Amino acid sequence: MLPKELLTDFLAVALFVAVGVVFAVVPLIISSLVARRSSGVTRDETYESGMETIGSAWIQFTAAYYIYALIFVAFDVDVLYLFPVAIAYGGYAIRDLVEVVVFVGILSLAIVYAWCKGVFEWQPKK
Amino acid sequence: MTETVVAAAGSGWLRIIIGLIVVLLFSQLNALFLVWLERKVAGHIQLRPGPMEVGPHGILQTIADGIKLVGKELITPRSADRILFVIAPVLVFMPVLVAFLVLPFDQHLIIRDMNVGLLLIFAFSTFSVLAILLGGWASNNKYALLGAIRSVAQNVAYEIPLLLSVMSVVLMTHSFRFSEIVAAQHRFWFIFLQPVAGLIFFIAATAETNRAPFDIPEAESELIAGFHTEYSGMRFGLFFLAEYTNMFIVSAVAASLFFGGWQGPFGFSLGLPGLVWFLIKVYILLFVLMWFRWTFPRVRFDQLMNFSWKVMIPLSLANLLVTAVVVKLI
Amino acid sequence: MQLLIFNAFCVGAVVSALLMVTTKRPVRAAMSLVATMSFLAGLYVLLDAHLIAVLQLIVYAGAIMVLFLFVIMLLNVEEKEGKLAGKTMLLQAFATVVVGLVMVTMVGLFKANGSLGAAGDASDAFGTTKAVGQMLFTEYLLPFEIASLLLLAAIVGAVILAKRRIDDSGTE
Repeated sequence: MLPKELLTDFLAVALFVAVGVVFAVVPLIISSLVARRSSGVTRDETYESGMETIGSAWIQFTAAYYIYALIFVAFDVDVLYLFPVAIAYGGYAIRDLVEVVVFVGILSLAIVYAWCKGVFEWQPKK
Repeated sequence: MTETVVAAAGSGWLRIIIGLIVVLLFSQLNALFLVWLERKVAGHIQLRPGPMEVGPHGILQTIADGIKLVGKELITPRSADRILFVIAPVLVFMPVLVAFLVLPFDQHLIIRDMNVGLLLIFAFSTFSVLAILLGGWASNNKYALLGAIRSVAQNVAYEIPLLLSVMSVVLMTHSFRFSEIVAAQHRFWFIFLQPVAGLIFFIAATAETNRAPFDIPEAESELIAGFHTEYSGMRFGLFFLAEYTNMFIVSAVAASLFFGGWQGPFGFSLGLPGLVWFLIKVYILLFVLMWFRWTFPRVRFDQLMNFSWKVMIPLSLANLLVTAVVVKLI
Repeated sequence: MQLLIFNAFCVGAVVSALLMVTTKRPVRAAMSLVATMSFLAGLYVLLDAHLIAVLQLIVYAGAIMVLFLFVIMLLNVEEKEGKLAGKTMLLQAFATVVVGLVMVTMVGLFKANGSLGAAGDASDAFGTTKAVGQMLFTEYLLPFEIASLLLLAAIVGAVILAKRRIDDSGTE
């Protein structure tokens, strides 16, 4: 069984999330009850600075920075490993320092590599 | 006085319920006040008075605006993804209250002093970028989609320096518990011991709240209103409310991590209660955030990303290593 | 009480997972996956592993899902819906049942073996951030460093693959 304190923590978080949702939904309901309704052909047209809407926005396109996104995900996991390590840090003679230095060193290698490969040079589309 | 109130509230569910009510009231009042303050600060920086009509010095302006917003029609564009379009504004507001559960307003004024407190805030803050991406995409609007995509770019850039700078502090406190982090600063605030981490945290936090100069997902001068172009009435209001509440949250986290939370400088409380110290610091940081907006031009998102990966991340990694060595030596 | 919440979260996770596989729109499917991940995070807390729960939210609901959504949006797979051929459906159903059976058998074997500990035998410190950190410093020192090497390899791989594509599209 979970300790009572933790269960309370958990339920408190759940309660706050639930109240957050309720608190967001209530004004929306009030608003839909009191607001006047307009009509017209262009009312629920997609906004495009007053011009007629051209096509859909859901088209295929490239984002030149998806390589950053890929590196980011791997790096994020790396960084999160450091959280438990940071908490337990300092309880040992020297091995924790060595371990952290090696870990951060390997982490830095990734940046050095990407930098050397020119990932961080923004290439204008030709 | 706060001690007696807190003692009366006990530590169980009564405390949580009372906390919830206080948080609901406070977050609303805070947002109303911040919107007014932002307009006043903007006005005075630009040598104009800002809102003056409703109430003395326009203090009630935001309430009038709020009532107006509720009275506005909620429009869903015809070509939007209806379900996701409706969910996004609720999703952006959902996590903001949770942060108040662990924020330390005073030594005893924490609703639940959890041992994962700091991490909890980061975990729930991920939902806001998700909501922005979703809202921008579901609108099926070109400006909104561009805003949403830039918001992801921003997330990719600031999240790691943010976490790394926090890690440097955690290396010194060995705890995610806010009460312990603040208590560790009773003599020296961490901004004096960790100036680099503090600076990086504040820059990254500005980006996290989508505030100028990192307001690229919104960028009103190029993308109309960015990700919330298609949102009208209270749905827009929720995005707005969440932004101002998030501003308070990151400033409160910064105040607790780097500026000693409820404690006065160098252990001198100068007779002020902890709550007052805490709020003074938070609102000064909020003022600085507003000051940023009217001082710096907006960055391009490739500039932000390259700045992050070439400057902020290497710097915070180096800072982390130095901290690890120094902690070992002491 | 705890069991009740646990079951509620299980139902939530399963329902949102079902929503994910039944919806035809990829973005909605991804959102359902976020919901599943969040429910799983709740389950982790109830299983006394709060660090994992928080990391679950940051990594899966945060970083990875954002990347997922992003890819779906960019590829615009929206149009590629429709019914699958009967044969593929049959194959899929068969594969699902087989994987499910293997899973159940494995859990059953572990349980019979006794290596799946009974609930409640974990010590107080189990699952706390500090306990995980201490384990990373002692028992799991090597896996910890190897994990960082693996992630380095992942980054190098990503750079090599993505960079070539970018360079190619730039010169064409």
